[in-house]
Amino acid sequence: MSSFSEDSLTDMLPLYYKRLFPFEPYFRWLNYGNEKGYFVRREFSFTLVNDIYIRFKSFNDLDELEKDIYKERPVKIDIGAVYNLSPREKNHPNFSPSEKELVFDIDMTDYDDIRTCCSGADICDKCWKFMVVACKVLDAALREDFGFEHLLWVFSGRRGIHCWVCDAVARSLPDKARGAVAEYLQVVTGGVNMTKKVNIFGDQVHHSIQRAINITKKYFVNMCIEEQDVLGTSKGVTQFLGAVADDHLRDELQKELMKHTTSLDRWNAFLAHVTGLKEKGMLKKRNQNLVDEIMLQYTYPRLDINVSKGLNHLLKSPFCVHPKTGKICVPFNPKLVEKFSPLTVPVLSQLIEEINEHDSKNDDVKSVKDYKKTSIYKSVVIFETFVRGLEETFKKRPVSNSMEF
Amino acid sequence: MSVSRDKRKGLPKISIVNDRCRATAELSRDLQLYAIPPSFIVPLAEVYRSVTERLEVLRILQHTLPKVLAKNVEDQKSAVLQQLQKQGLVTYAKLLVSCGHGETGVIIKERIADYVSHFFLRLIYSQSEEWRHWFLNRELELFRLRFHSLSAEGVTNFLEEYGLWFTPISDEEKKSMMHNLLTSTANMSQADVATTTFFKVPYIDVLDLISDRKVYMSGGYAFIPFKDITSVFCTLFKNHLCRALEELSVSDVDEVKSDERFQPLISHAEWFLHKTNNSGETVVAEEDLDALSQVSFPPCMRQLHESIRKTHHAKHGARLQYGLFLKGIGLPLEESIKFWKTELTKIMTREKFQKEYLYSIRHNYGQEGRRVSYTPYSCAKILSETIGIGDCHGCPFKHNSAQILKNRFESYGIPPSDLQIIMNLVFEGQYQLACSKYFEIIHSSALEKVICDPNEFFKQSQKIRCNYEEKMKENYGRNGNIKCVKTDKDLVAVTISESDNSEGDNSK
Repeated sequence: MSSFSEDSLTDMLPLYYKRLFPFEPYFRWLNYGNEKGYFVRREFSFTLVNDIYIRFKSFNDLDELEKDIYKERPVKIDIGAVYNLSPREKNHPNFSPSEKELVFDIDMTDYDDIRTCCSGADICDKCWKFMVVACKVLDAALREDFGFEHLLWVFSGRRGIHCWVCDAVARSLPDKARGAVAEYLQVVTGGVNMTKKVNIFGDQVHHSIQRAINITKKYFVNMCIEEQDVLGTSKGVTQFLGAVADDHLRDELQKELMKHTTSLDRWNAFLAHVTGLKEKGMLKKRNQNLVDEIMLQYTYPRLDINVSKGLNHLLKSPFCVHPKTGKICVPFNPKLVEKFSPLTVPVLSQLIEEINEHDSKNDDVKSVKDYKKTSIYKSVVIFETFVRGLEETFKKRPVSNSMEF
Repeated sequence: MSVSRDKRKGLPKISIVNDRCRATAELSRDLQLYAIPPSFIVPLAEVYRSVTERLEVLRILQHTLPKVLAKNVEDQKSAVLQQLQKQGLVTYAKLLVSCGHGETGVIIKERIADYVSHFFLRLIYSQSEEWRHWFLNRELELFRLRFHSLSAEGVTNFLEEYGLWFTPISDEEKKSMMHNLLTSTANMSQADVATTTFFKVPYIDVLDLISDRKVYMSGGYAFIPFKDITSVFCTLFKNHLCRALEELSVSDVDEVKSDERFQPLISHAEWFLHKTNNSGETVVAEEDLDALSQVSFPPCMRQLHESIRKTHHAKHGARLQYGLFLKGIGLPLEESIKFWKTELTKIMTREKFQKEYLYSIRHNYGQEGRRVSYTPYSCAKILSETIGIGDCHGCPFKHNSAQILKNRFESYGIPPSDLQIIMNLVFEGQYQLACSKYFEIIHSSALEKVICDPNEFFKQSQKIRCNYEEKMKENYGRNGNIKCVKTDKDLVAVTISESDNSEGDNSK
């Protein structure tokens, strides 16, 4: 397995675009069944070598797209909105975004304050579990609560995941609606000055939050208490207890927890103390949902709302190569997210080696598609499945059943 | 004698079939959605009277509502009603409380006044982003209060009139989702849920309800109880008016604007808005910011300033909240760039700053893109912001943990007894009152009006500080304008003036 170096990127990209980038299904996706002028009015942006950034690129068809990408060999491709006019007319006074997929971006940086196994740009299978839980919770909420069906989940190349909601209804959502959907889904709020980031008020827990709790329960102890060892240090305990708003209870818990030394023992002591109070009817109203609140604070998906809100927000395209890691931003199946590992994502240098290896051993070099010779094959199949699912809806675009007068 | 003419001439075409009949229908009830422009003849004097009255009403909303933000809708309505009655705005007092059916005491002439004045102001205020924003918010506030007065029958009439359909769910459907309705519908007991009608509505029509997770959602539909119908209509009203204003902004309204008979009224409307929303006229320099942040900034902005100085960075929401505030206090674009550049280039290269941050600073001042000059945030806006991981903006009274807030205020020198009062207000959710209390403590001076705007906080503070300065000048006989004077142990007063013709002796 060869290692990847950033310098070799410029050499390898042409090969990647020539032989591995799945242009055909990619175009079929963004063309949306040849919805009138959709593809032509889509903004792409390229980041070239030496950090040259070009916005408002657009293409008339697959051919133009391919040719330009071969020519420019962008280090990064972003997908923007579909505008009301071709992006070439960006200086027109009426130029404005009209549609785009609803997108979500979950980045491991937002979990840096609670993950202990890695920091910065590093990632491992342990902290990846935060992404696993985030994906499961978000996927379920988007499908069950909002009725969305065509979700494309993509690895962001280093330490995060993106979700592209491609339903026609989602694409036509205005900014305000995107903001509202994002806020519905956002449960962990509060900046650096807020130590308690999840609040569940009242006796009744909203069904969407309850679903998240049920999912999270299966992972929390193993993931946070044991693997991340969040209660393993006194600093960790302080941070944990920052989520207890009640001063008196916090002090009690501090004393209780520090009687033990392991994370698991401390967690169990916490549980015992809180449930004990509850059973005696001595747990104050505002602390009723404390256990669930804390579990969610550690595991509920941490969304960057600004990414989802803006119609004209640009997001990295699937199948980009991450310039620092050489990893391909591959789609994955959300139903099998537990089996996905960021450590085994295909790396560009590896893919090229695989092509060479295959070709040197086989005769039918030309007749087999290049991506089938490599470990990117699985991801392309996942992508093709997604596109085919979308294509079934292209025949008739559903009429919006919203109210108009 | 006044000359009258069909007011509709000159307005852009909105194609409605059979609009004459519909327009008359709009007059058949007290509350309407202003979906189509009036198409009848109105005496010019009536236009004048109704528009001037409506402006007063909108002004009352602007000044009264922020003071009663924490109260329920009934109390908010009473506060507004009180002001309307005080000013003799009888028509609107009646319209505000009308239940929407039967005898409400509102006469046709009053409905006409409401109808005509809305459309006239819509036309005038469509012409600038700031005005559109202001008009939309005031009209939405008015509509919301008026809709709240409708009885169940009034609401049904409304639904029928606009041909809007809500699908009430059947009893079987309700039974099948009873558990979810109970757990997910905010503020409803089991008894409530059992007896209320629920409606199945596409989520896009009830954005407010879903963003707060107040209702059960499934398959793209929200299941809302009858009592929440106000929210649906407010969203509809807002969307429609917003769209209409956008359309008008790119339409040709010159025929009306240049009509001589309307000149005085149009000037009045424009002046009115300017007076209500005047921007900071003082000039501040970047080097004044540190001192100013201690003596005249509200806690939200002081926190932001300190955070930026400390970490040399701020995320997008913080840059917007703080950047616009600085603009509002009179920091010119060049000084603002100086500030951000000084700080940000401590953790990034000049090139990166220029490439990624300069644009949005200029954008805030209306120097890029669509060249819209954005308005600084009010308290209401800041309080409604979502604060995400890593953010440091928002309202400290709401978005900081109690301990962090206490520590901060202790470091500012707030005495424990005063701090306790502030914290009590915070626990009650009275964030603006807490801020007003903070103001009073650090200025040793009572406030007339509750703080509802960070820039207002600054303005009031500067007024007091500058008065102090004047007294200092008198006492010590200095000439010219004093920039920065150390007076008390940690009180620093700053005078901001455009011309610095100081000749006096600045040494102590």
